[in-house]
Amino acid sequence: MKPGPERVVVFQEAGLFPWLTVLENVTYGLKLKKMPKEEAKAKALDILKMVHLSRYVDSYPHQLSGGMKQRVAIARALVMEPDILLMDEPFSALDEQTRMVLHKELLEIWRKTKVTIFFVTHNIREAVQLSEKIIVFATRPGKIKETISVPSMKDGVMPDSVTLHTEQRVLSILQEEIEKVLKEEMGNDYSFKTNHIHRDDSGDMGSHI
Amino acid sequence: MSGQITEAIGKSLGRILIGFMIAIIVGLILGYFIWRFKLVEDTLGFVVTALQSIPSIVWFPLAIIWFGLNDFSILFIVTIGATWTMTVNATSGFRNVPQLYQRVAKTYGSTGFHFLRTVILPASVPQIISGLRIAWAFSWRALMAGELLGGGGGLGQLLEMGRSLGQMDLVISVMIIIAIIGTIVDNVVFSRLERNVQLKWGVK
Repeated sequence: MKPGPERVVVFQEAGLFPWLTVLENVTYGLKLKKMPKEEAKAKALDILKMVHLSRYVDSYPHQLSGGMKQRVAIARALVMEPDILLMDEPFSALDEQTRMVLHKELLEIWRKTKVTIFFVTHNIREAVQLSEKIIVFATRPGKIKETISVPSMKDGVMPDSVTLHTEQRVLSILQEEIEKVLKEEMGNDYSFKTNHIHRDDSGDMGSHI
Repeated sequence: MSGQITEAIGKSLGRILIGFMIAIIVGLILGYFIWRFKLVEDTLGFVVTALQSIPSIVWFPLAIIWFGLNDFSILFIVTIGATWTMTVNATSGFRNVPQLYQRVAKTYGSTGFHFLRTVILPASVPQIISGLRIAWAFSWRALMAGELLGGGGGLGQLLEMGRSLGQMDLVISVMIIIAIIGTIVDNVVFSRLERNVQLKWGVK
């Protein structure tokens, strides 16, 4: 399945056109759909309001911060009203604080628009914080290894006992894969020791003693 | 003598504007074909590199035979002086359009001429402007050489006239004017344009 106007992709880098203003960037796809100018503008302004960028409508991308650019990219995708929004590690180039804010905003957008989001990430915490369902992939060949449902729906910022537990589960599933890759890269005698400290649900080490 | 220099400046600038415009258009079109088709790149692309190393005044004898000793010959060498550089720069500009922009545009369904107009052309503007700058310098030199030999008015002709009349004051002042115009165009027009575009495009 190829990306297209019904299945829009948000890339790792925002990929905004530097020669267009924020508004023009957001209406780029709508104009391609031959939507009348006024209608496209009204729609774009609506979406930009949703990602809290109303004040930067006429700015150029080089005047925005990384997080803002990524928000414009999300707005540009959402304005197309896609059936499914594909996000390919969209926040991995951002700093931790910005990412947290964007997690929260993404969840808000998701609740408002009810769009299906397909989110690819290497960050386990990010996956757990944002998703209802996590699909863990194996290394080459990239097959689905396991599908996990995340029971609680969170605010996307604070981990709680459920998400921590899910994180541990994902990590333990991935451990085998990590081992496989490391053995491929460093030789068979290498072993990825499982000596990291597992946290209890309560978050206190040694609470079970 | 009054008004002579102004008239000559007008004439020279008129010529270079026309020649430069043609060179830009031809350069962009050739650049497009070289970028787009591998066959054209292997054939014409190679020839362009070779042609680029020929100083444009070298074309003058041929031009005189083809068009006669007139305005048209001067225009020809002005144009040909800028065309090859423009072609080379346009080609590399198109080639260096970031994959990301192309992928984004394709995701939104842009194809064909729309893709060329809204992505490839604007994305290569920084390099095209660098090309314009060099092309302008080349055609300005070609113009002076052409006018000096070809006549038909213009600053180069005025220079030649000053020489034959033994009026070194005229020669020197024309030289100064040539330098001033060259500096103004380079610093005020192209340099500023280049800086603004590079800032906006995030190249620097």
